[in-house]
Amino acid sequence: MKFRANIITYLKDEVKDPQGEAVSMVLKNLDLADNSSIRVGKYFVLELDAENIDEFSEKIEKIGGEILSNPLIENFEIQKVEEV
Amino acid sequence: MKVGIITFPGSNCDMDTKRACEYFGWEVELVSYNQKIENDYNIVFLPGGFSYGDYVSAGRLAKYSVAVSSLENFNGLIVGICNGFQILCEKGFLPGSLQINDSLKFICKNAAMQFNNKSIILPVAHKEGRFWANDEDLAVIKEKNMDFIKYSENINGSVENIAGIYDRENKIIGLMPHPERAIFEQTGSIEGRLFFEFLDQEVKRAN
Repeated sequence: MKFRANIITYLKDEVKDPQGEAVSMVLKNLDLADNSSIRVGKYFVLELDAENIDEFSEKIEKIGGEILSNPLIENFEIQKVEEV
Repeated sequence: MKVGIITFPGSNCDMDTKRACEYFGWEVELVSYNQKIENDYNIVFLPGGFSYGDYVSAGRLAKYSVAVSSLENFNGLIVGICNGFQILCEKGFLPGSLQINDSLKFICKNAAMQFNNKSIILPVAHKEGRFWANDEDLAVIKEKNMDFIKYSENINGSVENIAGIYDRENKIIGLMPHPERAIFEQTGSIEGRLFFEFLDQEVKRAN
């Protein structure tokens, strides 16, 4: 069976995010938000084969936590797991 | 002295590093990222560049290569320059991480730094060169005097001006500047020689 999941990664709160700060500054300059907080991240769409949803979940936890993110500085979130 | 230089897909400082080593009369072998690193090298270099295109994050994918995985059993000195430093941090061989510069710009210039308490100028060329470590790792870095090279002026927002760290216990060095680009008069500076002389001393000290 083939499953799909979306994974997002972004910097932890305690880690400075200069890209997020740059976006925040633009929002301020455009009078859209005076004091915004933006975290910039990455978005991955994964499709892979697995026997069942449990095996798939186990695999993507490992992929998200070890390969797509660096646990020292980044969080990862798995979203929208589905069979395709 | 026998050294190995790992060439990753996307490495672009492997030949500069080779020529720098050859200037000192060292025997050099270029090793593919897909090969295991043998234990007969005194030093293994992870050169600068954009390994695996820096996809996902700088240094992230290279840490899973056969060559880097085999370094866990390597007994000599491991030296990561620029992208090599990023790989060593991603791999967890060195504490901390290299993140996007404060300015969000790619910095390419000669920068003043303090190297083992000497003032020298070395070329830097990076976008993800801002060294960051959490309080716990930073305490270890300071306690063990690992921060052997620091920017005189903080060019990228690195914590404590750190440009490179040296884990003497495990014989692992990582640094963002490019000493291999400052060996020959033609390139404008020869102060990178000091770093290679330092490596030579460290290898002799260990043997």
